[in-house]
Amino acid sequence: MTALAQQLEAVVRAIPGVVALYSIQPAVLRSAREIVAGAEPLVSVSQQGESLRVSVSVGVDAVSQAPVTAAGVAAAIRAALPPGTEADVIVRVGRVIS
Amino acid sequence: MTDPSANGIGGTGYTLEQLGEYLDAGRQPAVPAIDDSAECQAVLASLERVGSLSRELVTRDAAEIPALDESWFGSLLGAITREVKAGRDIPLASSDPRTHLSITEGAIREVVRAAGDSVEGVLVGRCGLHETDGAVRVELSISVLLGTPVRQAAEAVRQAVYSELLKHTELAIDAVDVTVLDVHIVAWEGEQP
Repeated sequence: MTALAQQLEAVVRAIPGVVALYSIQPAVLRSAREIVAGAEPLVSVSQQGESLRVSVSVGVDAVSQAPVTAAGVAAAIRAALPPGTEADVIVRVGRVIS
Repeated sequence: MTDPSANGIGGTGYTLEQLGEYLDAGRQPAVPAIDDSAECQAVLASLERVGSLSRELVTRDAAEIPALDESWFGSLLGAITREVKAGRDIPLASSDPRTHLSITEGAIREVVRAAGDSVEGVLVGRCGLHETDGAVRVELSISVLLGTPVRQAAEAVRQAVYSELLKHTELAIDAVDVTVLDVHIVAWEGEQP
């Protein structure tokens, strides 16, 4: 799962209009997990029954419309998932950066 | 460097003062907890903007514009710290039922603040979003620098905020109310403002 998350993080970072990724988990929880498991990707991938749940928080460039960039992020994530993968994709815009 | 007695900004444990120190150190050595936190990054961006204003002021003729009151800056930074909290996720439209897009309240408030600050001679004090029956009213207070036409500045802020919210959100904007709180004419050293 971590390898997929790392792959998706690279995909998201390459999307025009995405200028930053942020932790989607509470900072305290993330810190505790990283002490145990080391640095984690900023894209979260978890199994939920038969499908995946992919979550990411992004900072987007104010030059582009934030909703358009967010939709682009979701589309790119779906395109990068293995064929036939059922997934919920959650994209949160955490900052719009001027 | 963390403050175990408080959750800090964005739940990272880092205080406003510590973020200021991090900025002064050129964000080195890198602290992932700060770099990966949207709230901390929003505060750092605001600190940079406020710092730019300070530098602009001190480079002007002191007879024209003396320094801003330190307590005023403290109040401003306090407002910024409160506003960057992510808050609720405001949904954005998606044609795919399994795709969920949103923008945080904190991000929207940062959009409002940045739009206001982009108007020359203006610094946003506080901004608030108030939702009633699905429509959002934006309230913000601004300070203007001596020599800035107040009415025009307020109108420019209103237009900039409205335009940026239309661009980056799908909110139904009912009104953008701008209140000019003060014009910065600060007394010479030893005098009262």
